[in-house]
Amino acid sequence: MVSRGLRSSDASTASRQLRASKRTWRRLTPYAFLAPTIVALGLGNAIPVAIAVRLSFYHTSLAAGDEQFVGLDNYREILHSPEFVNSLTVTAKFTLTTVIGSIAIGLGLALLMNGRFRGRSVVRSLLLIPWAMPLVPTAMIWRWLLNPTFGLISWFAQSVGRHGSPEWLQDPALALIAVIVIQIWQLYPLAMVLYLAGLQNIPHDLYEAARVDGAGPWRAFLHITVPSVSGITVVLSLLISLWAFGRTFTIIFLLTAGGPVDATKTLTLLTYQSAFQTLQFGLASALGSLVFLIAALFATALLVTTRSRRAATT
Amino acid sequence: MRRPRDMMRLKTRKRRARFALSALRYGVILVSLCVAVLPLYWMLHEAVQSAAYRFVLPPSLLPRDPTPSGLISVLSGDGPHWLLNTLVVAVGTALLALVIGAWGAYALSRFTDRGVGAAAYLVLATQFMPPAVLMIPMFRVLVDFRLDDSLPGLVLADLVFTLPVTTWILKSIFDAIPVDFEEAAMVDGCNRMLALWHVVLPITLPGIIAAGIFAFLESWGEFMFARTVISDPSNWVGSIGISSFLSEYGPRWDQVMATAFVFTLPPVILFLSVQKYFVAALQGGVKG
Amino acid sequence: MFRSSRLIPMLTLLVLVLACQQTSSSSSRSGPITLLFPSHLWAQNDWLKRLADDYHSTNRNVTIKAVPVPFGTYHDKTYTELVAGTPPDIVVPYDEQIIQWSDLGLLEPLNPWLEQAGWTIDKIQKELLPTEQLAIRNGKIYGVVQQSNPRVLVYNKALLGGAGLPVPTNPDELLNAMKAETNPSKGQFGFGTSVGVDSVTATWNAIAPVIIGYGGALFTNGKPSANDPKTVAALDFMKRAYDGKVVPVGADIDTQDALLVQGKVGFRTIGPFVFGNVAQQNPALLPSMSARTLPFPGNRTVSVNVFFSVPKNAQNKDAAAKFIVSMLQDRWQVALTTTYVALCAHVSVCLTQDFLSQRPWFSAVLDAGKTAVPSVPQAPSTVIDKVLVAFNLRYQEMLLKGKSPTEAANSMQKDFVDLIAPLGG
Repeated sequence: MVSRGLRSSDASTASRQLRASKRTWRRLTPYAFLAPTIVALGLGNAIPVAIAVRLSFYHTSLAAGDEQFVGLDNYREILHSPEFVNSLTVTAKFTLTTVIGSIAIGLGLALLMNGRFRGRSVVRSLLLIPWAMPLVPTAMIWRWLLNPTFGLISWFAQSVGRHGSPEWLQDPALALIAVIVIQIWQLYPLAMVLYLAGLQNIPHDLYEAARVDGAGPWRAFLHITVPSVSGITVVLSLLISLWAFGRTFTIIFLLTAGGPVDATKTLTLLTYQSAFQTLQFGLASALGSLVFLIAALFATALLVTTRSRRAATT
Repeated sequence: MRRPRDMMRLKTRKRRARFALSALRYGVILVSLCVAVLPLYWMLHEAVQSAAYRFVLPPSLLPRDPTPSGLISVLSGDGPHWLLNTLVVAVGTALLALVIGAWGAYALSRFTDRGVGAAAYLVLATQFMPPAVLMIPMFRVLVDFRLDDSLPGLVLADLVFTLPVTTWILKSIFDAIPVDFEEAAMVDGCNRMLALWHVVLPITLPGIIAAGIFAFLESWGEFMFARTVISDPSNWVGSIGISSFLSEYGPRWDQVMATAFVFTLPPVILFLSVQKYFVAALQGGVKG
Repeated sequence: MFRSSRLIPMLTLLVLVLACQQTSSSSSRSGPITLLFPSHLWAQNDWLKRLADDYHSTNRNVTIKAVPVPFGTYHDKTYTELVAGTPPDIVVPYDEQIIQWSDLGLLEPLNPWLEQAGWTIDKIQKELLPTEQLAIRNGKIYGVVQQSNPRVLVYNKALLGGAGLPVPTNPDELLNAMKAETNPSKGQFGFGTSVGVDSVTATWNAIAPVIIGYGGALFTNGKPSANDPKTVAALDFMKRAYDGKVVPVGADIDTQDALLVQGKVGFRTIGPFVFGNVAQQNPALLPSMSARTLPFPGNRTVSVNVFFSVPKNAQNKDAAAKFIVSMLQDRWQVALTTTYVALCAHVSVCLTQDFLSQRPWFSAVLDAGKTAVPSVPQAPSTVIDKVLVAFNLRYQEMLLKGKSPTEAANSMQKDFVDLIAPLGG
């Protein structure tokens, strides 16, 4: 795009300037696209996070004038408390099991649903229902279903021959399992949908070739199916683990409120306790910041390993 | 060379194995169906069951002496109003999340310089902080902008939570479309925006609908922030409405379950009707 | 030129500036006033509405805006509003909150308005319920009791008669009766109480009548007393009840209430308001229900108390305080007891002969009110919630993990001592 009629040096300067401004514009374009996101998340999330991080260095209940700078005291108190260790363990168990369970069931069901059979679309639709159900009714109906005295599931367990019914949500040994199962129940449809889409994108020729080569169904699964949907698996792992880590608060809150005997008290529930029950917002903020750090480390690790694996294979 | 009788035995064994596998497959699917649908069905069951039979053992699969009184009182009371509010908030959140998210996701997908990578990470980082710690500061921010106790305020609060995941879902959808598509369009004279609009969006429409539905469902069922942000009963959404029946002195169970069912049905129906559409489109996309 | 490298620090600065902002608001207005009064009480019955209408008729420029709030949400939400600078004009703290909120300086002392209506501190201490003391700290009155629900032993006469037993007069008779009435196949249970499924406060409120009833306490005069033999005896009673399977396990408070109304629970250590539930939902059962004071050796009980208070930063403090004081008028006190079936603040006034003759068992409530202490532990206000959390944990350990009452009590004691240690206590 050099205009004619200029002296050559002017022309090259002009074209250099034009290219420079085009380069800047091109560099800014993504930020222009990201601007609304940045504004929304900046105001809605970054500011509250900043407030929380600031308050983590104070003792405060948020009442006016009730702020006392204490440096790292809150962090020290948390790291030395057995409550924190318990919540960390519960959260780790909960997250790991929920992720693996949701992915396994999602993939399993997707495989089962992948072939053709009569009524398939109806069945597929019905299998997706748990994901669509809102949290409050879900928690309430599950609590009722699991009621050791009157719940349908408890009665069913009893009639299948157990002495007395398991106290699903009241027995410390069972409560976490119950909560995990309910969470997997709500999350597997997402995995199933994504895997179904991914499975349909695998060319049939690959399976044909495998069969011709004499590979059985299990080997075909391991060497064709799993790698082909690995992208989906990574995304799901990240999403579900971050969800289970931070956001499944509401359902546990409504089901067990962290009990019994703290068996289901994840880090997010412990944070809620500090913020709203013992009114120690500084402590809650410090705990929240720690959770933030742990989640950030975890996500970074996951992203780095997947990026390096992708770089290695391309 | 195998003898014909052996060949037949082999075929029968294979057929039996295939039959057993089929039966197993259908069995698993049937059980999964029951597990998936039971809670919803039970909600309806409890909503129409007469109070007298609620605490009677053993529980029966069909409701005893069913009565529509619970459902009627909900539908003739505040129920529809709450549903409307919930719908407004959920649709608002979904639309905003899609529009803003699509823009952001496109950038994250197509541009790979460091700043953009950092932005991608930061978008995800917003999910890391426990909601309990965010509730009060977020409420304060809404108060500063005079958006507390308003449906738009709740939409913004829900947007903050749904935007990151919506953006990431859309990013992975855009990632699946090779850049050549837009390059081709841009060579033909479109700028980036037009390329996005005319080329990328139509192909990714099913995925976009999926992302939108996700945001819609998250916002529909949201409880902790709704109960903090909203006060005036004219602004109540469904989750607040349901919790209002859990009074200090004992719930009206039929009303609780009836409201729960009425509140659960719309997103389930919406989801079921839309998923057929985009799953079919996905299949079509693969073929075409 | 617009450089991205400058953009990020600018945005960060903006975020930090906004983060450090403090909100402030307050303005006094003359002319028509609207009192913002969110509460779960609006939906319960019409007493509050009638009080509000009456107040409006004598103060034409004041309207009271009724905003119903779900009960489970109310205290968290109100706390959020108090600290976010958007307080309502009237708040409804319970025992725990009146201590916490007044200590945090969130409430306005009501002395001037009370004195204007003739309620000096002397008169208050003589004529109002003893639990009003909870709201008085350093001579400042931070709230007025709206209603008090002392815990009594509510029992189902029909179930008792069915087991052929007389009304229990001591813990062993009570336990026997509970066991005799339990029949899980019929969904019938002897004791409707909590084993920790609900919130920490709800569980404590369910167990407190037994502990206090035995003469024990988690804290006495600010010092931990969990391992007091009376506390241990009370814990032992609860463990025997739980092990005797007389409790419908897994039933949260809502289910407990429903079971009682259906006539499937023999005994509850609860306030008289349950009679209101029964009257509303299953009136045929009402003649079978009765109450007596707790048959525990301590001859004491607890009560759950509801206060009305005014936030320090409320927009219309004057009108709000006057409205609260107006509920102390005789006719509203009588109306409160009749409507809520609970004790009003001015207890000598609210029980009419009519009321008592219709509900003879209410004399047990009156007696209970004389010995009732607030249900909140007498610990320093900053640790009350942690105390309840620790109690809940050890209590569930005792029931679900096979620890003995003595072990549980000792663990609690250690927890409590650790909690108040940093306070120099």
